[in-house]
Amino acid sequence: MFRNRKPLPLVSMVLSALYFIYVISLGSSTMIGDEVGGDPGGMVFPLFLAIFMFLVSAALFATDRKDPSSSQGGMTSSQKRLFALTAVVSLLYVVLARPLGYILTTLWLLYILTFYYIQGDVVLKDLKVSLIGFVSSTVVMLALYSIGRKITRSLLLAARKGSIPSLLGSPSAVAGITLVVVTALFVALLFLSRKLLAKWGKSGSVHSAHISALVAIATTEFIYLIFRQLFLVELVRGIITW
Amino acid sequence: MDAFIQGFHQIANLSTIIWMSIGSIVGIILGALPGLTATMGIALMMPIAFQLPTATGIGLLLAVYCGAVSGASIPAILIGIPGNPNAIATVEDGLLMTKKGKAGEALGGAVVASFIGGIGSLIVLVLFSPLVARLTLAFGPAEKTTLALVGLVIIASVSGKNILKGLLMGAFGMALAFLGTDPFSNQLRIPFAKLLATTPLARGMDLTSALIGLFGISQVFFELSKPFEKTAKVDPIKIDKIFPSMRKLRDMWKIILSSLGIGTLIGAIPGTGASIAVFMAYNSAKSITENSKGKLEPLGTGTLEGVFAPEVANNAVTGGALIPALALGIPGDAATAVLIGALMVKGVTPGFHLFATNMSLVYAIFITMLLANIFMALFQLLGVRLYPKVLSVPQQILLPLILILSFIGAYAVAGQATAVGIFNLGIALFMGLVGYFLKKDNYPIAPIVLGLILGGMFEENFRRAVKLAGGNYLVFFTKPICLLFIGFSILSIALPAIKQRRERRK
Amino acid sequence: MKRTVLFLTSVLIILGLGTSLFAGGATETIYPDPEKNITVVVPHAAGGSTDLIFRALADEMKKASGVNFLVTNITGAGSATGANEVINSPADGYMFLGAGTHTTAATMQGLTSGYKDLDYVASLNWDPFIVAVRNDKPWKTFEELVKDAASRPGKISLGNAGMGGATGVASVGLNLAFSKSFNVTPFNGGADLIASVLGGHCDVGIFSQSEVVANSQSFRPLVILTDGHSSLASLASVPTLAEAGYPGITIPGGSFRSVMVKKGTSAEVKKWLADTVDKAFHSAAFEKFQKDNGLIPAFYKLDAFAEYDKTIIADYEVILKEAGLYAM
Repeated sequence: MFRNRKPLPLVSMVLSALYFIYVISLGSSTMIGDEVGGDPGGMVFPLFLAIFMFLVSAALFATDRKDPSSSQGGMTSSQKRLFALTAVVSLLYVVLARPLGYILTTLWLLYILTFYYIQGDVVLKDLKVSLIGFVSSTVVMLALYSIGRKITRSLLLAARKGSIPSLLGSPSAVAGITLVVVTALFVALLFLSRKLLAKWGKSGSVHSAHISALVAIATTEFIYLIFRQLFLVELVRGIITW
Repeated sequence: MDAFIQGFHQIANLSTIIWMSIGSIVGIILGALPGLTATMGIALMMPIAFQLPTATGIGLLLAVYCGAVSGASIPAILIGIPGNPNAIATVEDGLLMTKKGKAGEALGGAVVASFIGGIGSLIVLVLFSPLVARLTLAFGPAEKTTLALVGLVIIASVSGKNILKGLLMGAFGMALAFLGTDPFSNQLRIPFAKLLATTPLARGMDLTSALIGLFGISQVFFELSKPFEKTAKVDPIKIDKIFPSMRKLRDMWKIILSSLGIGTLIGAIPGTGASIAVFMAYNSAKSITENSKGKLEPLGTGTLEGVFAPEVANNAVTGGALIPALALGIPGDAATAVLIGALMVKGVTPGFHLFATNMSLVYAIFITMLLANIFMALFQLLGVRLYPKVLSVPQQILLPLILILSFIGAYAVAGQATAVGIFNLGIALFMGLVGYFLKKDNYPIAPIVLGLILGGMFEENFRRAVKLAGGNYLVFFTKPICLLFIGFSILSIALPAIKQRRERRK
Repeated sequence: MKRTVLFLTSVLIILGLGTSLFAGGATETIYPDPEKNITVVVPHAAGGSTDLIFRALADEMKKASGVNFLVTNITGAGSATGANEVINSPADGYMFLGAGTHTTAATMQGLTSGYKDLDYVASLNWDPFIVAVRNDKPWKTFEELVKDAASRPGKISLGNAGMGGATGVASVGLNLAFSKSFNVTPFNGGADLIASVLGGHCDVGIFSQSEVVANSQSFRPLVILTDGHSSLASLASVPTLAEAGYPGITIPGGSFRSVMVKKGTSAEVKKWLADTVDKAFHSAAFEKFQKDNGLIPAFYKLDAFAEYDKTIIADYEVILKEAGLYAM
């Protein structure tokens, strides 16, 4: 009888039951100094909510059945692999962002996902090309980032010492100058890499790696400049300490 | 008048103009890309808005909002795929017009219609929100409790085919909102409280990260579960005539007015949204053309009327939805829910107090709304020839970008606090996966957002009302406003349920 | 093909390593680093009086030092969440807490390790509380209100801007002094409390002076909870508790604001911060701000501030213990 039931309402029933137990275990807490008040306490509402959710999910479990006529064939195996890859890479991103830092994790996430999305599947034979792209995009990224950092720091320090006008040393001006220089370098890189990789043509894994590397590098640096330098959001440094 | 001038000063600067232009363009692009919604656009731009002065930041978000709502009509007209639910009703006549070779007229008409809808509803917003705000003094804890209930129940009942799913999602959102500390006793209400007491979870579920997860990350996974869309090949379309003639507009005045009214009203009802308004406007336009004695062309045959009605309505929703959002702090739709979140993070609490003490900001918001509509019309007209190109950004590149922007967005909300930022990444990913599984089984997402926003408000005011009444739980049945709202909530559950049953019997 | 790839990667690696090394040398340790901002954690919602004070101070500190000061509002659990944020961050001087009596109260209620894990930088000022009602309510004086409350205990509601905060403690203290005859109810911040008192949903409220002044047409101030009169002309006639007929009652009748950093911050950093606060505090703009808002200056630096805070802690301990809020 469970064949055409959906699993979600069942999960929700279990969770509601757990929530109920949890709320009971917390106990009710009324306000201090409520001698003549009548504070219902912190338990009433969550408890009501737990019961409500349990009942609604039970009702859904009973009524919401799979439609046997429209069995949407589900995902193909290559889609499943891409989906799993995305989930794993995202999880790694969350876990590693702090120890490794924004620059590396962001670049890697973008590069890996774009590469395999363009390839359309995760297969072993792409591994070599993807690794080469991975390493070279990391190196280029670090170079680009380091140059940008050097410009930013020298400008800021110079402005503080008073050797350049303070307007040039303001955070937005510095971010702007850095952006212009880095963009120029990136465009040069674009042409150079296009020339070097021309013989592999406009398809195949080398092309994918090339495009993914460029997209990943540009996005990572651009987000860094906008968020870190223009909006002063403290992006994690991790192992890239400069 | 002083407040107006002050408000004007808050936004009369280059940075506001630049950011709003960017917002408008980003909004139109996001709106035009199938699968990306206005709500998601606002959620993605929110971290940037946080870093800007309040009025400029809100202006940016409003520009994204207006742009995304009207940008959705572009793919609907050109390739028959609505960019987001706002343009569902535009597809039929819009695509037919393109097939007839009148794509330019359809696109231009959609822009004009969106502009009329946006400006019209803005006028209503300016006229009525101060009035509504004054009324809110009559809203004590008991009234606020029932009002929050109405918002939750309506969104649960209208967003999706199955009302039980909507209710479950609303309750789930509320349960998430209760994480954190008890507002009355300061007791920690999180699982493993001893372990997690000093983690950011003690502050409760971070609203922005949850929103970004629910709308941004979940969409990435959802798109991944389908085959990659072939990049839309739009045949080179001849675009000559763009603006509808004045006479045509005059002939359509009834359609424009009814769509404007429907859009604004539906927008103003908490919890509803454009996807309902556009169909209602389309239906109403249908009956108007049938009674026009041949003056107007019938809908469904590729006529401008069929594009105008839903496009006026969906942009009218934007102004309408802002009325309860600004006056009461209750969002009119999911997109304004995110906007309220942005206001609250900026330290602006919508409601009477905002109108009483910070009228200049209110005026600034009104002016940015006007600008948002102007920019939207301007950039959309300028870009008419470029859209086919926008539609050809391959998903393979777009999806990783959305994923990373969602992550950075969730992180950046915490600003300087690294620990909180990393924690937010986790929340965003978690909510993204939860959102994916829910979407897959056709559970609506919007009720979760409303539950998250209204849950805290509901519980706090519920307890406050009972406490002020000396422990009397029946206090909600003694006040006329409360009774009205309770009745409204019951009706909005009962009617769709009855309708469902009737349909099932058939 | 292999050779080209090999050549490419080696070029890249050399390029990368070269620039990294060359950029790596650029890190210098100076406080404050020109690239970094100093975050001011305000543990209350933006727009409230605490927030406005620290925003004004941050502006002046920025002018005085050229360093970027960013105000972040981290609310919740009285003021404990914001305090915890500072305590959980590194003791490098790039984050300080908008501390004060709210921190003292939150620490004593066991919500945070608070002042035990914080170091003193500088104190700022006192903001006295005022008890007010809507002006069409029947109580003309504080005495009338107290007598009415005593005659029907629990029927008159006394609102505060949130439990755990300074108004919360003041309202509990007040209720205690008048044999618990009020129905003490917390609201969601000052704005919510004002709207509720204006709308008649709550009878009596505890406000800061600026909140009363902003609504002077509709509020009737009954009593000021400090020993002295208000320095604001429009509130100077509001009686103190003693003048209202209730001498000898001690209530933490105001909120006090100060600057604190995480314990373990180096002495030089603390001195730099204290000196910058000093300059900002004595700037014309901040002095005008304090005068306009009726704030009573109480400036002490470093060790002098630590001594001053001991007296506040001693006062609070008595009241919180009596109110049953003490959980340290």
